Amino acid sequence: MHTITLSNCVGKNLSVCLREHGFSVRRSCGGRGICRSCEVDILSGSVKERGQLRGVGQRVRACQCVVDSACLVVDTGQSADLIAHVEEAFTVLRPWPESGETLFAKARGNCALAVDIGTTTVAVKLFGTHTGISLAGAGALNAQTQVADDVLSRIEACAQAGGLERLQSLVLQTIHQLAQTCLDKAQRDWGDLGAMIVAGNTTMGHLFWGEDPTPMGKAPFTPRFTHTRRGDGAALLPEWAGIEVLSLPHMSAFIGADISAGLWAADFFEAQGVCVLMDIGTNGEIVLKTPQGIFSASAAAGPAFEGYGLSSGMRAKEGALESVRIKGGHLQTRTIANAPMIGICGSGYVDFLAEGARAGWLSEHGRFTENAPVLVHETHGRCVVLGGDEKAPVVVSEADIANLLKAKSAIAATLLTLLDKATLSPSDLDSVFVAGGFGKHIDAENAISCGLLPDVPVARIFYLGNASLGGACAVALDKAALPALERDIATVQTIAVNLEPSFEDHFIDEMGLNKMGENQ
Amino acid sequence: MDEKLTALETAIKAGKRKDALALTQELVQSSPPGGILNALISGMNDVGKRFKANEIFVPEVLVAARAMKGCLEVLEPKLAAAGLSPEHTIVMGTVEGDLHDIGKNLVVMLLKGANFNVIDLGVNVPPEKFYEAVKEHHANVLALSALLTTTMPAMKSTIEKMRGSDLKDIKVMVGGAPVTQAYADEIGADGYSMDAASAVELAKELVG
Repeated sequence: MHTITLSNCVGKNLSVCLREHGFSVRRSCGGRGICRSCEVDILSGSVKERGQLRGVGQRVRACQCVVDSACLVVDTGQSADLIAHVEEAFTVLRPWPESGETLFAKARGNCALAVDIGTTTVAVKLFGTHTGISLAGAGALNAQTQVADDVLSRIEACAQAGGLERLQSLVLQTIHQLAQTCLDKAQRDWGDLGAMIVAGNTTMGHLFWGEDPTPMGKAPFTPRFTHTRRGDGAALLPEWAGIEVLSLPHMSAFIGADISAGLWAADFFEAQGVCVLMDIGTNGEIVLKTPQGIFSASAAAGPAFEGYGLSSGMRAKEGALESVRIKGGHLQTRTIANAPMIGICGSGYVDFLAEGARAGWLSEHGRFTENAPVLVHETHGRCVVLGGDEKAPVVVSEADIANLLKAKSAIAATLLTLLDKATLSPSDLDSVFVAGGFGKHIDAENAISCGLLPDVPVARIFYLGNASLGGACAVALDKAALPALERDIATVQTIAVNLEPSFEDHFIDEMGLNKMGENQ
Repeated sequence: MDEKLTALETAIKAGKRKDALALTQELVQSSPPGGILNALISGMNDVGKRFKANEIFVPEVLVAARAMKGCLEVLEPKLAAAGLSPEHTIVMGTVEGDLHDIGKNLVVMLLKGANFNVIDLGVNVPPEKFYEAVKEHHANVLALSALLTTTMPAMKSTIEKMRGSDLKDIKVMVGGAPVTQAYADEIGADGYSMDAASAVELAKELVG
């Protein structure tokens, strides 16, 4: 339960008001009122849902409501705000270019901006065009989230008049403000900024350039372009005139330039043996290199590991449970900054699954056993309380575990299906590169034991952080990089895993609390 | 023999694929196929009920449904030989433009477990193909699945295709994560189910 009080919002859309009050309402259908993802309970006051008066005790879809009373109190159902964490840090594993020309040799000034356009967040890094030295970084929520949350809903929004123009303008403004922040921090001005190198998923790449993404909304999911694009910034924003803008190439509708950049950051194509790059997020992209070829796929994992849709889920910030141990039947918990516990973030859930199975609290199907201190909560059902207080307990419920297992299974089954293409198993992996903010805080042993990461020695796992941003910087520092990257990604085959015969079996096998591939 | 049937039912409930398959293979040697089918149906029925009551969740339903699928493959030729074919036929598929099939496959398995003859057309199915299959198999119900907000309109065009044809009275049911009762009403579907277990109940209602 998480209550938000809104005052003086009469006549305004409820989902917009909640967002202004810092609660990122999820709107999976893009605010069209055809899904239930933005439902809230009214605790006090009233709203009009599609013209109908709704009051205390009623559940409404926030996107369809206009606030009707001067004071309105709603329960959003989530324990804390879920505005995503912006990952700016990255690790580039490839060697620093020895010498020679950089990509933007002819650009004006001496600064360049690397940009990672995520569906939820945008991160940028200002660096010396020729030195590669980092000057400043910044991150923010992608302003397109005002229109819709996920990639498909944004594609859908482009089917309406003016939708594409609006989404393009929102992302350009987000980037512009972040660039301004970086220039201010580094005490530079716009004249110093000569180049911008952009990575993001294929849909974000389309919206950035104002290209229509709607053909990617349905099979055969054809992007309008996948190649590297460059142009003068004036074509995007008048203030960007004179800036050389370059966006990195995509591989397919689902494997975008963010992954191309990540592969470059990981030095993936030069790495020895069998290796995989995994970006664990709502859309889990996986690229696998084998002697039989390089295969890629995206897994529709959903946002469970980001805390969405769970009783006490939240992002990794102060007060989030980040570590759990079960010793002698007793819980040992640690929160970020040791603050009072208000919710649970991804690493806390991974620990709970692994420790719960180890301590015999959870069955192989993720149900609580008689050993677990289970109670039946009126809204959460059968659950274990990890912290919080009586009014707002922090819990893991059986429904939460089922959601987490579904997300884990989508990722694991995708990797196993790709491994099948080369008759390999998870233990054959020589390197596992984990991209995205997810990896940093998780306990690798626990992620392995609950089957989210493949069962390999921990020393073979490398966390890249924001590999999209890291790769974009690395490409900019070496003129030879871009042709090499273009050549390398052309060898990657995109596989529609759910049409592969073995996928469904893997998906069901991986639904349990087992190590990856253990149930085959 | 009754002991073995009870054991089969229990194996289905627990999703023990190998045990269930071994028991079915043993039972078909000597036991009437109708009784074996009843044990499977009763096992899946229990799974569906517990799912609806939030006692179990999708992972366990999938595991149980897959166990039953293997058993049905063994049993089907015996049922056909004994002249025990299902009374009702459902044509099902994921609509044009959409390649998702896990949810659809789960519904197919549960419908088979409730003794429907299910013609599964797979994914990315255009309206004409649905029409032809309904006609060819004399189906009682057409079930449409969509997982993407961008492909939901293909449900509407499929229903329009049926309503504008000689098969305009076919009962159409729709489902999938982004679909709602309101949307089902808007496009003229005869029924909507929010999950796989309710889909079975809905199908029973539509043919009842």
